[in-house]
Amino acid sequence: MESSKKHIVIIDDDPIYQRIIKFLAQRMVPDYEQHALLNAAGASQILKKLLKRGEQVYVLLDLNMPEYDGWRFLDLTEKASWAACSQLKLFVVSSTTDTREIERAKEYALVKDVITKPFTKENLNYILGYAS
Amino acid sequence: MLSNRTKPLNVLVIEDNLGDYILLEDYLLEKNKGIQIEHAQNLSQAQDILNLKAGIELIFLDLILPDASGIELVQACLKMADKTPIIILTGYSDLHWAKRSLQLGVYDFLVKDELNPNLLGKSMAFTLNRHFFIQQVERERQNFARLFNLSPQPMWLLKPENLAITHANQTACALYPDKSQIFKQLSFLELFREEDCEAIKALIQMKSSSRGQHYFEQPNTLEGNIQVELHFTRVPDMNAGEAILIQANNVTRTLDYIQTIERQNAKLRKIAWDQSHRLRAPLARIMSIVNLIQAHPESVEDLVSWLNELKYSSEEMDAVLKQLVNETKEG
Repeated sequence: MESSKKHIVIIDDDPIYQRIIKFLAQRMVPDYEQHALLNAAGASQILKKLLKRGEQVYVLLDLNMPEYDGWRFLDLTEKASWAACSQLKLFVVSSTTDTREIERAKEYALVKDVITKPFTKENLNYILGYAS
Repeated sequence: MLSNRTKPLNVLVIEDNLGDYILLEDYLLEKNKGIQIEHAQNLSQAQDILNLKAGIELIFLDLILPDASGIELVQACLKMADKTPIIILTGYSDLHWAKRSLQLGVYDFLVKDELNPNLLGKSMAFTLNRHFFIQQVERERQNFARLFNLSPQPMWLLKPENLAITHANQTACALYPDKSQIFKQLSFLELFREEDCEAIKALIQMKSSSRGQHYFEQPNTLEGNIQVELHFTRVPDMNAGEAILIQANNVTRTLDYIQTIERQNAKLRKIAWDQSHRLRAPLARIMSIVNLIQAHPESVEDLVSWLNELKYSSEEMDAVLKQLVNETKEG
């Protein structure tokens, strides 16, 4: 059973990105609940809680962050049973243009796609309209 | 006579028999305009004349003199004549000596009883021509020796069978101020590291292709351990038939330069890589903000704060660029 509630979880250490995505999301999908995390440390706890409720979750994950970075999160979450769920749509959003890094990120089954910053409303459109 | 000579000829006649001398003098004067003739009646007089007078070009030598005769006389005269050509005057009785003298370095012999101006002229012309060519060859030999000895590039001549050093030029000797005296007892391979010997040997004997390794370390030279590029050529040798000529190119500096440049390149690549990452973060942020303002011009209520974010990001870019310049400057 699918709940009507939907969530956008932004994991990025850059507060400006938090602000940009928040700004865009408020205008495009004001009914979505937003969650801002400055690193990936607390992310799995929040995601588990939301997914348990059967709610749709869009994750925008930055890769390079201090301490608990996106790579570590991907490594730990990739094999977690709670993450194997169609309600979870995870996108990597990074400023890297390094094709090796992009390819590496795409190798995770969990990662739907890799978005290279700058982040625009077209990007958000693409993410929210993504059909698995 | 050499057809193109312009100066009158200078000769020395060593003859104790006055009759024989006068006859020879007549013939010489008859065929040679302006000829200068010195007359010595014995070996010691001849020595005095040669000491005092420079420019004697040809010596006539009687085989029996009061103070010496025969082969002994020929040898003494050859010695004092240095390289001046000698023609022997002989009687039939001494023909065996005359023939032997040719092997010692005498140019020709004339039998006194058969002497006539034409025969004399012919013998002199042959002798002087031959002498001229021999000297020319000798000069060329000396020039080649100088090319070898004075070359700024170290060179060695080796025996092909055991690679023993037969000659080392000055530059090669200068690399080993202590060892150059014993160069001649060394094998060329002893100048290199033991582990390289087989490769060098194969290269010299042309067993390996020319694409093989050509750089070898030459340890303990005056300039330290140097890297050399070796070139080999087989050359004819005066005595042994064939010799191996080795030229060593000191490529130590070139290799050092190449290494330094490669290190520098790797460093610059890393700097460029790191900085482009750091540069891209604020740049992508600026692009995102501009995009956002353009997409929602009516609803950007807090334009001033967005502009501040833009300012902050551009300053960050500027700082990264300055750092990039500084890092490139360092070593």
